[in-house]
Amino acid sequence: MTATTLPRGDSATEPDPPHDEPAGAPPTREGRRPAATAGRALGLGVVGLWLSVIVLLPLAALTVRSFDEGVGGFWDAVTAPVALAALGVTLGVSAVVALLNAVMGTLVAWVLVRDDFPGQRVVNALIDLPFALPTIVASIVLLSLYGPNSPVGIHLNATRWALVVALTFVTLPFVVRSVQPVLIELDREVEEAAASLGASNLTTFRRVVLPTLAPAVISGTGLAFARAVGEYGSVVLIGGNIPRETQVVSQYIQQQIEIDRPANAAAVSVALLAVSFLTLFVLRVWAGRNQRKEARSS
Amino acid sequence: MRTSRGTTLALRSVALVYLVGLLAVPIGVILWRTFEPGVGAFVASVQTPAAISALNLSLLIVAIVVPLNVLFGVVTAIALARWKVPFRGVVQAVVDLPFAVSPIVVGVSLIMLWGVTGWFGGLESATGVKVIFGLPGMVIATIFVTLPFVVREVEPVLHEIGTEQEQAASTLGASGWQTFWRITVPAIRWGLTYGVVLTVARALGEFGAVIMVSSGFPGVSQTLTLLVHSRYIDDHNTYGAYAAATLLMGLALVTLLGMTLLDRKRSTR
Repeated sequence: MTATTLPRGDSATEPDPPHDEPAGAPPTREGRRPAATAGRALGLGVVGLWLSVIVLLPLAALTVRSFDEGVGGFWDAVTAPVALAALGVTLGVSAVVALLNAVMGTLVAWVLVRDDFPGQRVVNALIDLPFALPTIVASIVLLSLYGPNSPVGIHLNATRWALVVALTFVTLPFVVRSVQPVLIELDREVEEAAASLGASNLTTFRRVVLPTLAPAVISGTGLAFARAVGEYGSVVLIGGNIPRETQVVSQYIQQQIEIDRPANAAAVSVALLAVSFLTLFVLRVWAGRNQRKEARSS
Repeated sequence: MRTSRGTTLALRSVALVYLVGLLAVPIGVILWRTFEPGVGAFVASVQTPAAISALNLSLLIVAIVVPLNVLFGVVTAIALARWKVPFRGVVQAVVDLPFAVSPIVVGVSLIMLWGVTGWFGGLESATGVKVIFGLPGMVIATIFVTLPFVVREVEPVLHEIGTEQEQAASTLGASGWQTFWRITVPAIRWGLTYGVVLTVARALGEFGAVIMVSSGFPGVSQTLTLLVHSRYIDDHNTYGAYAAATLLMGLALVTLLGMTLLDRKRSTR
């Protein structure tokens, strides 16, 4: 039942274009020993069972149980004022974080690729830190600087700005790491041609560089948004969890479990899942269309 | 595009100020706060009985999750790369699914399936094995969030090496197992190791999914991440939370270093 809304469920073909065709010959089925065929059937069964028990069944149970009290119950749970407020805070803050990532991530990638300064490799390695750091550590790290005992006098604790800072921290690598390789591959002759034809730097950037970078920027931004929407650990200590103010959806869901309203928690979880899947689905469709367009024009 | 010296410096400054304010300064502050009272205080704080049992529990979960992920992850990768898989697109999507699900939603889903009132709730009353609020729940939650790593690191390697060597081996009379151990395993070992490192890092650091299915008792069902949380929230032991976070950060840095080294190894293979 969740399969219809999967981010990759649209593609019946191999979803990873770079690995599309195996380098060698495709496996043939002639000459296989019967034992191998039986082994494969067993292997496929094991894979199916593993994926079902670990991933599909929990999500199926979640979806079914969110309708425990009927469609009306589901709708009431999702549209409860505090739930809606949490959804609004989450989407709003995530949108701000995504935009901030789009601008600053591109800028950081540019500086890492085009600039040259001592310590650049250290800075480059530092970018991956938010992915390696546990989210609860991210929360406490930010709290130690921007929290109640801030040594610099910046108190963000339990404000929406705290959410923005925490989510920007954990999503930092997405745009940087998706733009960087494109910038490295970028053909600089085109830029030089534009400059020699009298285009200013700003015009060159806007008309030549940006259109090439756009797909990478947008895909990084989309991934950052999808991550921010569901994030919990990094906001739990610094966010404050104030209903209608700084409570994000994941905190609301957690609270519903705590006060023993599992049906509400399940319904809002399904809504949150729908938001992430929709984001990733739109990204995939858009990326696929982009690729086809590129293939046609070349 | 040649930018003037001024523009270059301005862009560089903006990027560095952003990264320093967002990453370097907060991490510097927490290190300073941890080690300001001396290394002895830090060591004492991470050697309390609750801290040691939290470290042990985190390592136990890693020790259970990694072999399972390696076993099932490699089989899944081989199936996707080599075999005729019905509904391949759907299977690919299911493998990526855990990346798209919020950790809290993972926790709620597991409660809906394995909890006392869940679909498999009968299991608990029949066998007495507590899944939710017990170790099995924490293990299953960790497996859910780490499931894609091994598959996603091994599958591309299998595509890249192709099937020629495997076919040659089997033409020369090697059995399926011999081909697997002598040809396939050596070829995928760095990709597999990279997947395992990612799995370990995520398993040690997972918080949201685990806190939903753990009873959170100190010394019993607290992992390192839960310890950081409970020290800060429940015990108001800010220093203890900083110290435990620094320990986790140290583990994360080792992982990051390992990833960087492995990445080089993988690309020069």
